[in-house]
Amino acid sequence: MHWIGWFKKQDKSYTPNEADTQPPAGNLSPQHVQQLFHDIHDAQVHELDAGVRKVKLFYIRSFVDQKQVESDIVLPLLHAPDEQAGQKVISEDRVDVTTLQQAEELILQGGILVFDEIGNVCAVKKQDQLGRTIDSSEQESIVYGPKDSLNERLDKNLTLIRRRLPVASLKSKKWTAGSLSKTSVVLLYMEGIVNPELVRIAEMKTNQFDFDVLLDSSHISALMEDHVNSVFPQFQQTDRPDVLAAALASGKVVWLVDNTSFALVAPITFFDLFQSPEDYIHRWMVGSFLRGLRFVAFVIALFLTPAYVAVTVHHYQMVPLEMLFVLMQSRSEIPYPPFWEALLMLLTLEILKEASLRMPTKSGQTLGIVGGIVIGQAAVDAGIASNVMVIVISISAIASFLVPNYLMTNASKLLQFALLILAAWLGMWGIGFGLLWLCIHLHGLTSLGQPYLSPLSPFFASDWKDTVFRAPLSRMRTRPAYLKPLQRMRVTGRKP
Amino acid sequence: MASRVGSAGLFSISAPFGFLSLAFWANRMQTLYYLLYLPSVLAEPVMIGLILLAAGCSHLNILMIARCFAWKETPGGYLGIVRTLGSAVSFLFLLAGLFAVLMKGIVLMMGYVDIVHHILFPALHATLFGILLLCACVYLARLGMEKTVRFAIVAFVGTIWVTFLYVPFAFPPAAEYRHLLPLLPEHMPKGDWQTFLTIWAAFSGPEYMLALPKEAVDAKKLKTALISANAFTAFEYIFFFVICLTFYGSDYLQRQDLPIVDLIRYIQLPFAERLEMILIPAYAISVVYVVAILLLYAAGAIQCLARSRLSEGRAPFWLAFLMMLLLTWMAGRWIWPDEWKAKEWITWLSWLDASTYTVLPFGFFLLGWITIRRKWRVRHAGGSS
Amino acid sequence: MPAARHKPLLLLLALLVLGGCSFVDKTNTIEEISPVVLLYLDEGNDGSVKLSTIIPPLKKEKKSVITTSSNTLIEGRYLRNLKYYRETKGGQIRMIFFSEAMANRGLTSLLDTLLRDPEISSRVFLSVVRGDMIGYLNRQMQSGQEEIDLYLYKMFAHYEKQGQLTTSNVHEFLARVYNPYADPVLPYYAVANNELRYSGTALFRGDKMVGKIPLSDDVFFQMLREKRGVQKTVPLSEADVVLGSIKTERQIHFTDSFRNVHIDVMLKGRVEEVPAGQKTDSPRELQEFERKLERRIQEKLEKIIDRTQALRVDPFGLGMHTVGWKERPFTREQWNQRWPDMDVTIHVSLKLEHTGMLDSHADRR
Repeated sequence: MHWIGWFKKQDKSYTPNEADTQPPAGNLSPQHVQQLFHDIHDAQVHELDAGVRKVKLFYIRSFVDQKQVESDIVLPLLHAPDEQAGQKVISEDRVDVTTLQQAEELILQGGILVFDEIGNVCAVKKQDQLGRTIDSSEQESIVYGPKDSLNERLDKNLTLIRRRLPVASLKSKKWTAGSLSKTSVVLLYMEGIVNPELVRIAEMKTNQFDFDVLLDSSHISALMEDHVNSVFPQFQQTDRPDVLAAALASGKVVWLVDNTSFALVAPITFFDLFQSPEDYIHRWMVGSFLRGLRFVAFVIALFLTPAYVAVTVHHYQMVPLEMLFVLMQSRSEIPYPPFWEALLMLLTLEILKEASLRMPTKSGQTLGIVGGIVIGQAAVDAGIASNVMVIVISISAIASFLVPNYLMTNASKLLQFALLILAAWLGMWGIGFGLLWLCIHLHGLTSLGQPYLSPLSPFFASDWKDTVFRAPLSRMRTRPAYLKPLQRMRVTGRKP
Repeated sequence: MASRVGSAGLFSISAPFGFLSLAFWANRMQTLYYLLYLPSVLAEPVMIGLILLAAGCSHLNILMIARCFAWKETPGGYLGIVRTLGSAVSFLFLLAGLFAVLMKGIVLMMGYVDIVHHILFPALHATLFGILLLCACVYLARLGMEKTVRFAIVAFVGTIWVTFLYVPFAFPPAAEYRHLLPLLPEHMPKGDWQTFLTIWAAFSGPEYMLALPKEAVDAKKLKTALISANAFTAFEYIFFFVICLTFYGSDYLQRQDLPIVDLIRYIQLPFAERLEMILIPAYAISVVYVVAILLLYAAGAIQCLARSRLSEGRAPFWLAFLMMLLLTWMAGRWIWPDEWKAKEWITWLSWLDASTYTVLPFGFFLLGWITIRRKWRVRHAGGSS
Repeated sequence: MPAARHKPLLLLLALLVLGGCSFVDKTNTIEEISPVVLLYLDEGNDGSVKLSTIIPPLKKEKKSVITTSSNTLIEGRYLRNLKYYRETKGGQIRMIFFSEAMANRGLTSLLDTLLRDPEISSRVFLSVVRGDMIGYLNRQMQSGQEEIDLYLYKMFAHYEKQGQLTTSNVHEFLARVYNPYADPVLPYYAVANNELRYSGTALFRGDKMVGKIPLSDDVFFQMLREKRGVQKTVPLSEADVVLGSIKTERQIHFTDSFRNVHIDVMLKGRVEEVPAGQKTDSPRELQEFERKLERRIQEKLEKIIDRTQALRVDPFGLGMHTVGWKERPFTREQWNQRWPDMDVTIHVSLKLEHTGMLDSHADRR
């Protein structure tokens, strides 16, 4: 149970909405199908006389190419001499249909339902060709290294991963989730490497979705999280197939979700949020430095502004004399206390950032310039904000972008506000207390049942080679121990 | 695999504790509060010998504690041994234990809170900090015994970096090594009981591990962990004592209340001064860790005392918390505002720590040994007849 | 767990009740306070303390020196706050100047007051000043040197790093006051001709100033004070010689069951100025030159030792060298009595380096 969870009332027992969950009533007959699809303007019923018997086709026009219907179904049917028309439809995508529910699903996924008079029903599934081509990732762009990324098509995504791990031990299990959205969810893991307990928990969690619409992998992660009331992401979302392959090979499990370009990886640790695929492309020393820099940047992003407020409100003793001179000069004309100054500036910055994100790219840039430079300079000139404050805020804003995980970047903003309030109230002790609370919180977090703060606590010495720094690849012979993989060693030992 | 927070029992344990958890736990228990004012109690360079002596005695105690866990014959660990004493004795024992744990927790926390109050926020009410810390303790302790103990690593990492700030004090010009002389005693140190009591109490803490269930501890690992923790504690005491002594000289050192804190105020970095403003908050993490464990001990004692009535769910935990809250409030209202009363309580804490560390390991060792002898004799008699 | 759900509410309530009133706290918001940087303490007419400081510190505003006189420091601060519209705070005190009269009276009670305030650091520079310090500060501020406090602090910090002049802070001073085998020293400044000039070292017995080392002897005093040191210029005016970049090393050992002390001073460095006609062509001549200088230096050192013995102060901490591994032969009182009567033997050895330059110099002449 979570701390905030205590304040909540228990879930009221609810009665499930009948319409959502009940399968459509009635047996499989043309009448029922027609009834099911009434008031759908592009639902098409096609009757044709195929020699002796009559055949009915059901499909949705916007899914299906008319010409294809002609060439793949109508023509073969017309040319078929006699009985058992349904079975003679020439198509390799033919599925036999037995229930009305199945029929509904197939039609809505772009299939063509074929009824013949003796009661045989089959469907021809036509792949809809919607979807992007494979682009490079915009969210986790890197300078060097593979550029392809997942897109919204599940099958293509699977291909991208399978191309990187062409072994049969890469297992995939499929679920359909969401009573309305019928989203396909595929769980991937490496048999023989991943701990079976992890797979068991993952399957259990994947089984228990009960929601109507699941449009994105983040919705699914929200339903699977161990701790709802935490700002820290417990699943890594990525659209890079190389990251996924690496995760799978190290003994993690991966969820692919249809119609989303982001896959989920779990379990993750706090330190995973600071990793970027580029760390492994650089020389190990450079990679380690960059990763260390990210941690430093995270600390700056969290603590610089609160520390400024703590110092200016409570601990003027902490500043060297020359620095105090500068601070007092810059603060002397400001009409309100440092806490409000910081809060206003932070809010302004967040508003600017949010606005430029929602804008089209070109006007976003203009907004950034107007917001950052013009407003900042004008605020200092007008005496609304001190110039030290502006520097502090901008440094911490820039530092916050160094964290590769976008979810974490935004989460750190929230933490920053909390720390700001503590700093204004209790100074450095307040910041320390906030940090302490954060440490306890992280210590209690789990991701897919695994401790979030490992390899620090619980301590796994061998995992430290890939956390705050990165050891040379040749030294990373073992898989992360906190995942308890069935095969510890990455190296086979067969080659000299 | 780890369970969801709150669903499992407070005291359920899934795997034995690791080396680092045990070692850091013992170390934090030992050094938590004594480290801050031990140097000014010792003051004379000869006392380095006394620290080593106390560390040696503590080492023997640890061997006894580890032995208690290594015996296969003693059933049920701690509670098993207590129960052999009969229900009345065990009731009294648990009651005394509850009192000891609550008192230790409160005095440790209020001692720290007093530093915060005195140095950082003289204008704020000290109880406020006590209550905030207690909230953090509950936030940690709600994770259950296992996870709370494992927090040792975070608590250790969160405070140990402070030691590096003191390294410059080990070298001239800050250190005047002549203050370390005379190193050998010219005559028996006349130091009163109080001094030795404080040094001995400063090594107490590992005795609390006797209460762990046997499945939580691997006896061999416990032994090495406690021995290394003890050695590290002795090192820490000597290190801090030596730098305080070489910095102040023994006459001046005696006049300091909190030499460790005053020492850090002397540091001047190019971008920050008065680092006690950072050091004191950082120390909170160790305080919260130790008090959270003591809170769980109190909860365990209440659970055992109340047996059938309260053993369900988390009621004992919350009861222990409320007791602590009340005691904190009372201490903040009546004891700590008066400096002499506070000092008295700290002295009583050293008495308590010294006595528990003397009595418990030896007592349990003896009880366990008697149990084994008795069993052996019974078996031996049965075999011969 | 029904019980578990209500407890946090209780907890929050308790927190708000107890902490709520504390939200309104006396903060130190920097634009509302006036952190005092410099203090000047002088003796008043009737034994009171006159406390002066520059107000407002660290701001580009019109400044002035304000003075309060009271019986204690804290009362002085209180009175000062009534005089000035910003609250003055002591957390950034960097320098305290004592008048000579004040230093003669004893400083411990004042410094203990300072140390007891956890806001004040023990890294406050102390010094004794002779002359009209208030007048000096006022004149400096009128003549455009408005950040005089900041400049003075930078000067002290620089001297502390260089280690050629005496500097001392509260910690160093008190550590020596409480040390049974050493006496504290403070830098001695004099105000003359609108200048604040370093002019030697003030010697203290316990916490009371009893005498001083004049500027002309100060360089040699520094040689005895630290085990190792560097002096940038050592003028030997009697011999018309200036030595430069002198590395000094001092060794102390006692003989004759602590009746006699040998102080060896080893110097190594360059000659910067030689009198005209000085011959240093051959190694022998050079050696002779060195011996001559050694004698000069030795005389100076002996004069300093005589002076300290006459004043019964031990600013060198020689007594600390009497303590051995096992024994402590003197108590504080015994040492204080023994030191003035002790036989001191000083031995100076000078090694001149880079004398090649000297040769060519001489040749040209």
